[in-house]
Order: sequence, then structure tokens, then C-alpha cells
Amino acid sequence: MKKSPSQCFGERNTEGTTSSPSIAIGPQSGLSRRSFIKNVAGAFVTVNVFSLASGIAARASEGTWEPPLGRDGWMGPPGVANARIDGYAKVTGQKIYARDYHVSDMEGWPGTEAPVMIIRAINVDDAFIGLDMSMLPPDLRPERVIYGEQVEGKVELTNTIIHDQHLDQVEDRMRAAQKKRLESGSSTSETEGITLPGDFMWPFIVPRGAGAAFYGQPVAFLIFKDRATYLGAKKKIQFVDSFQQYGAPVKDPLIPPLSPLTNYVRVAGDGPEDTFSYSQNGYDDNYNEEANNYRRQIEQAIADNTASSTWKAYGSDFSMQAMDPMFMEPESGLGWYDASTKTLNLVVGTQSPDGDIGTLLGMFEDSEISVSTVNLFSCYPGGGFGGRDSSVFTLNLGIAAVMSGGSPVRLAYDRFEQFQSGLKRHACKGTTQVAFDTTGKVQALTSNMQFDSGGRRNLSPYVAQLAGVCAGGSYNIPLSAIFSEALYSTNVSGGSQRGFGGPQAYFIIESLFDEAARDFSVSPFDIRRTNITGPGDRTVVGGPITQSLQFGNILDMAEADPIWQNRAADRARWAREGLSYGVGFAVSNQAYGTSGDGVLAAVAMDAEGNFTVRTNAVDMGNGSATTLAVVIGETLGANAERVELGNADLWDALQMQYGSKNGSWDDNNWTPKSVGSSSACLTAFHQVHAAVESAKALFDCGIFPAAQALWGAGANDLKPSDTAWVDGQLTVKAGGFPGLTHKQLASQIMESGGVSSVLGHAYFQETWAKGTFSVQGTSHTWGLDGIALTYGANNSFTPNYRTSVVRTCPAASSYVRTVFAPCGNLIGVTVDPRTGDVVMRASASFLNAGKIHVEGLVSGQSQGGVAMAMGWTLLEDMPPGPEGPASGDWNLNRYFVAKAKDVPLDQRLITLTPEGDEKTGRGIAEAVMCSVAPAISNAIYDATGARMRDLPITPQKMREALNG
Amino acid sequence: MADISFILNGTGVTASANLSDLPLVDFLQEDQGLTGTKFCCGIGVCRACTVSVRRAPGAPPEVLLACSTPLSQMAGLEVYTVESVATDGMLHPLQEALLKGFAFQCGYCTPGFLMAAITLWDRLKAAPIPASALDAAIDQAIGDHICRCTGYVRYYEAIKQAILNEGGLVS
Repeated sequence: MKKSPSQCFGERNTEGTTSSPSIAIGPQSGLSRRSFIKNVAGAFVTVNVFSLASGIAARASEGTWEPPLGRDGWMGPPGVANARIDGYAKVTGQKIYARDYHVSDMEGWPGTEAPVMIIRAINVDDAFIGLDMSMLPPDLRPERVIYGEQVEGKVELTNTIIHDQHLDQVEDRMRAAQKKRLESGSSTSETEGITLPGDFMWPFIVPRGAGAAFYGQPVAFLIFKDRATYLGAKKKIQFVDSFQQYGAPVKDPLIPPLSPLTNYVRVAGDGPEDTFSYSQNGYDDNYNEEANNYRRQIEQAIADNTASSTWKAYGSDFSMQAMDPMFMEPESGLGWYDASTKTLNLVVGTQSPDGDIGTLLGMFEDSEISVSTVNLFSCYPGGGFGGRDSSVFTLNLGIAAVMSGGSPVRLAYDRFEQFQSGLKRHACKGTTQVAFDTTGKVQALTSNMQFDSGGRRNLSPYVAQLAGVCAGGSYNIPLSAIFSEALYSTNVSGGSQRGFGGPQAYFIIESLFDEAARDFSVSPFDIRRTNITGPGDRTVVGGPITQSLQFGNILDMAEADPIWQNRAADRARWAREGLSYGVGFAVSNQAYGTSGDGVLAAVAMDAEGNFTVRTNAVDMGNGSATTLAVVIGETLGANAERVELGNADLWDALQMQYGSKNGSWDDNNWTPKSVGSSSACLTAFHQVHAAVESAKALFDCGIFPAAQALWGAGANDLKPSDTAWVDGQLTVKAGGFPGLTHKQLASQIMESGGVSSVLGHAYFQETWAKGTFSVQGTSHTWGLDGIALTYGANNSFTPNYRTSVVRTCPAASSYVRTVFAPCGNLIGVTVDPRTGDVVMRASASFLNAGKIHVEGLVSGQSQGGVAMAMGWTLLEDMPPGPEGPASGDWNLNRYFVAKAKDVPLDQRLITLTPEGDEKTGRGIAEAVMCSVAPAISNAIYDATGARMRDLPITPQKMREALNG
Repeated sequence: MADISFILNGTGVTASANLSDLPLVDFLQEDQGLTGTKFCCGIGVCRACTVSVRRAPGAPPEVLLACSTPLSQMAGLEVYTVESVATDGMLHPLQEALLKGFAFQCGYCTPGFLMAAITLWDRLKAAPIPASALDAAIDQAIGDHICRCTGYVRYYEAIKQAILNEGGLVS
């Protein structure tokens, strides 16, 4: 008998909302399952989401297993986690990653799995002709070879630019748009009416006779009958270039910069309002024309004032290499298309289950292949960092599944394949000039950045956009002109890597500030004190800063830190070993979230009084599951027993509309944005808000009414605020009523058909939208704009639309970012003048993370950010083109990431105490990383006098710099 | 060629001779259903696939990289994987230390770190070292491992604390 994957977790079945799945995964499997219906081009598709990454701690409540950390296992008192909720499974090696699963684990799946090998383009100059199968002996040949032309009509591209329009016409119009843009400095190519490429602008598989659009684009899928054949064939053809055959040269595709382009020009006014800025003028019809006029004025002001010695300007070119996220689990998954029931089954670990399902279903619109049901098994990703956000992997798995002839397939990249195909951090080139007056006050900045997006768009233009926000650093700059764009190339695609453009932008501005400090003969802290931004100032976009940033405290703490105070002694000590020692400092003001974020969470109470939190988000290791489990503790008197992740069905259960084309705030079932991909920086503030507000709603309209009923008529006048949780019981602060256990309350809810769970959606854009809802005749207001409820033991959600809403500020839509997690990094390095080796010796990070939910998670994220950034700065290098990982023969023997021994144990994280009434966390996953590279570079300058502007800072570059 | 027999987590297993060049990690995962030992780089650099072996009964434990060791080299060895470490649901002190110390995040590298630390632990059980040498010993054990989520600090701290708490491992 085949094992169910969930048997490893001992999960309970929490059957879903609408319909039963059509495959044979029965209740005995214990899988968490939820279902919903999607309308795809007029056809209804049932999507069943099975959360393999859910409720790992649930065994404790089943009474069949004694958790290792005491009665409550990972769980501490309400609001406290003693360990990760997923920690026991991870430290005992349980099956939780997609790579852990095989067809033999999948109940109801037929036969054995067919391994899939994707052959990827190593030539983008010539037409792909085919594969030389003569290199494989007959017994090692694949059962099926899938070329690009064979999937046409079966899997549709979500963007049909190449098919819908004559390429020559497109190219002519693109050239015209490009020319106009360059002449005018216009930031948009859309003025010419061109439909710019979407996320997937090229065929999934290159058809024979056509040229590949980028290195690593699939040219064929090989489906083998079994593992032995697959492994045997792999030995014969992997790393053998001649297996792929190419013919005549092909024309280079001409693709304009990817939309949207980023053009932020700001001219501060004499008063609180700007003379001109994107946030103020961005909706003007002639914004770009006006912006470019101001840009020229700013450039002229810098030229004039530096010529007259009124200002001093510091500027240079910078370059940064692409970087592989190198998450530890190479992308892997299982797929099976059951033609008899038109059901597509997928086992994957993705950061974007909602988006992946949407894109996947889009592939089968108008397709010869009919898909009426999708069963998605969502696993814990073994790392992500953005590399699994809108990755093509899930789509490739889907293609292989429907093209296999009925066999279940397994697609499991090895590390070479992952390097060749996985999303990268963008290579970036930038030119920036920053001008100060004679007092050291920054007056003006111009910045121009280009990001190499590679062959697919992915989230590249938005990475460039956030880099534009970051280009002005953490400073109040009266005049700024920033242009940032993502450019198509034939390189492996870039994506939304940790930091999202921030590391590149901060490396530039923080290097230049250090240069200025040296020239002004002031400390790195003083030059920043003179210019640092804070509440009342505006960003380079023109948006107001309203949060407490605490940069003053960050600068004071860094200056007092032993790394800085003891630098002279440390310099002398290292000199005795023949090494040059220096200390560098840099700050960042990394934003978290996006320009507008929709998030959701469901909080449910079961008949035993235990709580479950469900979310569409996934936990890439950043601790979302643990955090969401404990943040409801204060409101509900207990932490969640289980957290279910990757629930792509929850949005649909709300039955809301979203997007400007489908309504407005006047419609009580509308919100600007549904949900986005999972991002580590969205947990502490955004996802936590949705969970806490949903917990409040559950308390207000479910638990409190149940308590009133149990307490009797004398409790009619009580308000929720009159109660408090004491030792696991709900009590009345003033006394007079008996304490009630969760079990008692749950029984009352179940018997009375009261509200047993709340699914809440929240929207943030500078502020949270606040909705008022009528529930069972009582009006409530929460930081939610939509809810759905379950009653009693009925698990089906019923939408409960709001009656009114306090909407977010309309102007905030143009602020781009409004919330920030400031951080300073103080780093000491040694440089070996003989070898050029740079070694990080000590680091201290000073972070404003707001309220800390789980300290162990925050410091772990911080230390990880330091290590990854150190690798990017000093170790990790990959050339573009066929010399890089696109060749298919790159691995960790030539791509060096920081090992345990490379990272100093003297890493300290100092988190700032929240100011005022700040009660929320801040998304910090990326914040610490952003200023590490410039801090290292500035430390190198302190040690050697060499200014390094080209990453990575390899020993060879260091030697060249030292030797002139 | 004869079939290949060795001891896996205390139980004898035999692999067909025609699998002699199959990496141990594949055998563990696909033939034995033991997926706790992780595949990452496949070339023996990241050490996520680390298992602990004894080359003879009673011999000192040593680490072995399952991704780059073919079954042909396994004959007669005792192999221990992450699945063997907890007994009757009770965690080994090192596992508990990693768990309580929030040492890992995504967890994919954890079995490799754990088995390297277990190997060190077992060696120290047999031959304690001076406390002053412990940091270097831990560095020797896990210094070449790769974790992409953390900055390693919590791994070091947790392993050191567990060894010190155990008593008898350092003098």
C-alpha cells in the first residue's frame, strides 16, 4: 500500500469548503485539503490545494505522540515560540520538501515515475535544429522527446506577442519607441502603443528551426521510462555540447527596456510641498517631459555649483555581477495528468502558489488539452530568497505532465541544471553623482541604473523600480533625478532576489557617502547625521516619511560600538600579522512590502478549542509559520496549534473583486489587490496584521458572544475590552464571572452555531483599510476590508461583506513605498596586501525591526543576510553569456558561496526598542543585507585606501587595485 | 560483481551489484525511502548530504558525503543517517539544541550539519578533548558546510552549548 505523504506529519483531515477532489486521496491520508472553483476563459476548473507543509506540530494535540519539548512542543505561552513550529520535522529529517516525494508516496497515482530531463539552449545565435540521439544507445533513449513545435496548441503562452504581430512591424515600432525614448529621455515605451512583453514572452520550448531567445531556454524535454535509463542517458549527454544541434544564424530579437521604467525626479519646494515629484506629478500626462526638464536643470545645477566651488560632487560608475540565490533544494516536483478525469496533479514547493496556479491554468486556455481539475500539493521550499517567486519550474512540470502520455513524471534539477535555469539576482551597472554644499549637506543627486533582466521579464522592472527608490539612500536630498530600467538580454533570467534591487542601489550611494566623508574629513557617522532622513522628510519619489526611523540612534550606537572604538588597536594587532585592517559603515532604509499589498489569513477554532491559522503564504525558512502561530496568542489566549501554508484557495473563498477595472472602494466586496507572492519581508508587518485582525474578529464575533451566553444575562452589558485571558481562561477583569476555558467556549460556539472561524483580507497602502462589518446584528470595525465566516462545525466559508470602509489615502498610490526597516552595518575586514584576500572579521548590525515577534527568527534572518551579502560582495561571481552558468556546467566548485568557516562568529545584531506606540513588526529579511556590501567596501578603503566599485571584490581585483 | 551489503541505521541492507556506481544519497532516498539525507550540489561541496559511518564495528565514526560516494565503496560499512538520531521520538541533545536555538531556517542543510555534529559528538564521547580546543573542533566539523539561510552563528552556538551541557565530552 502506498504511503500518504502526510503520514509523516500525522495531520488531521480538515476537509475543504466546496467539493471533493476527484483523485483517490481519502480521509485516511490525513491531508489538509481545501478546494475552490476557478473560471478560466468561461470554463470552470476545480482547484484542490493539499498543504503538505501544514500542521507539523499537530501530532501533539492528537494525543498519539509526546512532543520533545514538553507538553506543548514548540509552543511557549501565548505569544511565545520555544522553537520553530516546523522545527521538529526539519531536525529529524521528515518529508517536507517537494524533492522528498516520489510517485510511490502518492496515494492513487499509477505506476512508476518517469524522470524528465530538460535540455536547455547553449546557443542563442543560431537556429536550433534538434538533438543528436545517435549519441545515446537505444536502451538509454528517452520514451518521448518533446520539441517546441509539439507543445504548440497544447500549452499556450500567456503572452503572444510573437504570434499575434508581424515581428518586423513590432521591431520597427520598438526601434521607433527606443529612439524616441533615448532622444527625449521618456521613461515609457508604451506611448507608441506597443504591447510590451509579458512575464513569459518566449515559447516555453524553442521550436526546431527557431533561435533561442536566451541561454537556458528549454529546447526539448526528454521523458525516460525509469531512473536507470535516465541516469544512464544523463552520463552520456550532460555537459556534451554537441548533443544539441544548431543551424543557420538567427536574427537577434530587439526588445525595448521592460515596462514600467522608473523615472523619479524630485525638486523640493521651499515649504513642505515639493515643487515637482513623481508622487505629486506622476499622473500628469506630460510627467516624463516635465521630469526630464527638471533632470537637465539638476544636472546643470551640479555642473554650475561645482564649477563655482559652491558644491562638491562625488560620482562614479559602479558594476555588480549577477548572483545565484543558491537555495539549498534544487527545484523539484512531481506531476501527473490523468486524462480520464482531466485532472492535473502537481507536487511543488513554490513561493507563489496563487500566481503559479493562475499562470498554469492560463497555459491551458484554448488548449487541445483539457484540464478541469488541478490538485496542487504545496510543500515547504528548501530556501527561496525570491528564486522560487514566479519561477517557470511549476509550468515546466505541468508541461511535462501533460506531455508524458499518462505517466506520472518527476522533474528534479541537479545543481548544474539549477544554475543553468534558476532565477538570478540581476547584474547591475550604475552611474551616480551626489553633490554636497561646503557644510557637508547633500544638495543633489543624479543616478542611472540598468539591470540585466535576462531572457524573461519576471519581476525585473519592479526590481529596478525599488532600486530607484533606494538610489537616494537614507537621506533627505532636495534635488534628485533617478532613472532605472531592466533590460532584456540573452542571459539567464533575473528575478526578485533578497533585497529586490536594494543591495545594488545602496552599494552605490553608501560608497559615495563614504568618499564624501573622507574628503570632508568627517566621520562616517557625522556626514550621515547631517543628511539622514526622518519623519517629516520625503523620499526621492516625493512620498512623505511618517514612520519613526531612529537613524539617530543607529548612528549613535554604531559610533559607540567596540568595532569602531577599538579600530586603532585592532589595526595595530592585525598589522603585526601582515594584514591591513579597516572598519566600514553604511546604512540603508530598505522598504518592505510593495506599493500596495493585499494579504489574508484565516483563524479558526475547532471543537476542542484549538486554533488553526491558514494563509496563502509559504514559509521559505523565514519563520512565517511560527510567527503566525504565536501572534494570535495575545488576542485569543493561546497560540495556534497548527498553521497551514500555501492555501491558494483562500482568496476565492472571500468572493471579492479586485483591481481598478473591477470596481472601487464604493463596492463593499472590492479591494485594490487580492494577494501576492510570498516574500519574507511581508511576514512581520503585513501577514501578521491579517492574522491578528482576523483573530480579533474571531474573538469579537465568535468567542466573546459565546462567553456572554455562558455567563448569562448578567454579562449582557460587558464589552470585549472588559475581558482578559488569564492562565488559559477568559475572565472578566472586574470579576464576578467564572473563567471559561477554550474548550467550554468552543463547545458553546459549536452548539449555538456561532462564528467558529474568520477569514480576513487586509489591504495596506501607507495605512490599513478599515472595514465595518455587521455580524449577527452587531457592528464591528477591524483592520480588514473583507471577511468570510464559518459557523459552528460547518467548515464552508460564507462571505460577509463590509458595510463601510475607511479607505487608504488615494495619494499613497504614488508614494511607491511608505514603510521602512532602517539598518546600519559596521564591519571590520582585513586585507592581505600580498594575496588580495579580504576577510570579514567582525560585524555589528543595528536594526529597527519594530516589535520583535520571535527573537530567534529575527537574529537568524539578520545573520543570514550578512552572510549572503558578504558572499555577493567578496565571493560569488558568474560571468554573463556562455562563460557563465548558462553553459550548464556550473556548480559550487566554481561558484563560491560563504561557508561556515568564511563567516565571522563575531556577528552581533542590535535591535532598537520601538518608539512611541509602535506595536507592529517590520519586514526585515532584506534590510540587514542592503548595507553590507558598502560597509565591506568602505572598510577595505579604510584598510588600504583603495576604493572598490566593481563587485565582487575578488583577490585579483584587490591586488590590481593595491598595485595601481 | 557481487551485491553490496552494508549496515544502514543498524539494519543490514543489500544493493544490487548493477547499482554499484549509484551515489549513496540516491540509494537512500529512492531505494530506502530515507529522504532525510539531502541532495544539494551533488559534487561534495555543500555537505548537505553528510552521513556518519564506521568503517568497522567499534571504529571511530567519520563523516561521509552521500552525494559523491558510490555504493561500490559502501561494502561493510555502518552508515547512520538523520533518521537514526532520535530514539523513540526523543531527540538527541544536539537535535534539541538546534531546535531550541533556532539554529536553522529552511532546514534543508540541517541533516548535514546534524550528522557532522553527531560524528563529532560520538568521537568526543570516546575521546574527550580540552574545552579550549572545542571551538576548533566544531569548526573542523562544520566549517565547510553551507547554509544559505542563516549566518551559521546559531549553528555554532547550539552545537557548542549541547556539547558543554552533556558533560564528559570536554575536559
